[in-house]
Amino acid sequence: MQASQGHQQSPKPNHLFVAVITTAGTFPAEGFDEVPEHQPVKVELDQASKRLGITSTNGWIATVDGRELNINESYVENNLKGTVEINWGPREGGGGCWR
Amino acid sequence: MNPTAAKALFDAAVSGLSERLLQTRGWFVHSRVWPTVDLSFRHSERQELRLRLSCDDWNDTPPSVDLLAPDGSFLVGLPNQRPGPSPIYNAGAHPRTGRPFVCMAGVREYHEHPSHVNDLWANYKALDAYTLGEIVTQLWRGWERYWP
Repeated sequence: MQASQGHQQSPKPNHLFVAVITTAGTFPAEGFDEVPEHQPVKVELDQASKRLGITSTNGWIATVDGRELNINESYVENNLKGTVEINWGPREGGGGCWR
Repeated sequence: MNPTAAKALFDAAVSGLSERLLQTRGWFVHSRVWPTVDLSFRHSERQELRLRLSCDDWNDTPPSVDLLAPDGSFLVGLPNQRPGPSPIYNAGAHPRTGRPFVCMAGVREYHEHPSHVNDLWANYKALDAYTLGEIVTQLWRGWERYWP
């Protein structure tokens, strides 16, 4: 969620506030991290996985407002700014029940 | 699974559904009392979908998922879903329930379906993508992608 509400501060120049939301927990546990806008999204996801004890994230996707991010690109390249909550988790799998 | 152990695993899983997560994702929990999670996915631009996950024998057995209308009644049909490669919400009648069902690994109706009886839950249950919370995440992803 591109969340400006509920977080009154503004990030310092060329930074944004980021939180990673999973069902194993949120990183950081409270509030947001302030990160450089040119930092690849995956850096924060890697920290989240370590902190939350998530060991296997193959096939996981990161989304903001339903839009999938390219986690190898920066926040700027993903058109993100301000305060952002990233939903991180597995892509749905399946289909194919035919009978 | 010993019922006490199953309940402990269930309680630990549902406690991870924090208010922050629920608010961010538009999940509304009607009830999360062992062995059932009853929740809705809501978004202003999409029809609500309510799900009831029956988690008896968790996690030796994956949850059974009922597709519900917002009032809690069974869905007898599905809305026309958005086009895509492999929607997980199947409008056909499941052999056991006779109702529309979720065709996705991690859901009991999938693993007991004649098309997938050889795709064993045992191959998934230890993966991070198949915790109870992440199964709900996958159901939500599918709703986001395909639901009108």
